[in-house]
Amino acid sequence: MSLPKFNPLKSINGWVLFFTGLNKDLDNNDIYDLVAEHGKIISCKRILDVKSGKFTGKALITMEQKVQCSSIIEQLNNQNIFGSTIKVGFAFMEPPPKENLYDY
Amino acid sequence: MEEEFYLRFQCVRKKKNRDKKTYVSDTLSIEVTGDGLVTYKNSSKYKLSEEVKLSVNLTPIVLEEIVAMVDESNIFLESDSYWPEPDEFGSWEIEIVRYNEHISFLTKIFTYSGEFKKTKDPEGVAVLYYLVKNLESFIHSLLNSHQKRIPFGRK
Repeated sequence: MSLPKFNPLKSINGWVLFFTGLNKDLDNNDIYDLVAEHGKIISCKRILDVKSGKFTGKALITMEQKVQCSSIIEQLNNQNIFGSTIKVGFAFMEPPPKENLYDY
Repeated sequence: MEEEFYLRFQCVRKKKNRDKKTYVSDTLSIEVTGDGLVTYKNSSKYKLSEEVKLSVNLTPIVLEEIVAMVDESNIFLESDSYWPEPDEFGSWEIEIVRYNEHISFLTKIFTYSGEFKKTKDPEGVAVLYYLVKNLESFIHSLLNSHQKRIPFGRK
């Protein structure tokens, strides 16, 4: 089953990737090491739960170039890392084209 | 679409003028549509700024996580009848559409967890409170990574 196609959108500091399903014991340095071989990382942020303060398994990473992001997605999407399968993808996309309301 | 989704959260804060009779109100709103469009609006003039409007289109992988956040909180099992009503300081309003079901709640503002322990339905209000706080922090981190410039000199 193929996902609907979209054009990824460039952010102000680079290209943003979104990770889900990560192991909950991971630290910022571990996520940094997963991705460091593909290129320069501009920022790496984990998303924490408000009630408990613990890691939820989601993370946002900004890279410098689009080619580095697509190589990360090829290598790490749906792989088993530290005991759990993760998903990787671009986070932001261009607005979808509006259907013309006046086409008969 | 088979699985519809729409979410809107609105927080209205009121302040009294020097007359002590008239009010000035600010609104903060977060809206998420099924296509992935997220908009954040804040009309409080913090540091004399204009009204803030930020929006971005999310990909399906991120939208699934927001929908999962709403589903896991079990907010569709709660009801509004025993919750406190909006008071002089403001109101919280939330509206969610999911699987052809529509929900809307209206209560007062809760700023910390001790406030809802005194109400008649503390467990129900806790569900709403933690859902709102988790959504706010997630959407803030998404919008900041998209539109906030890293200061020069930081690693």
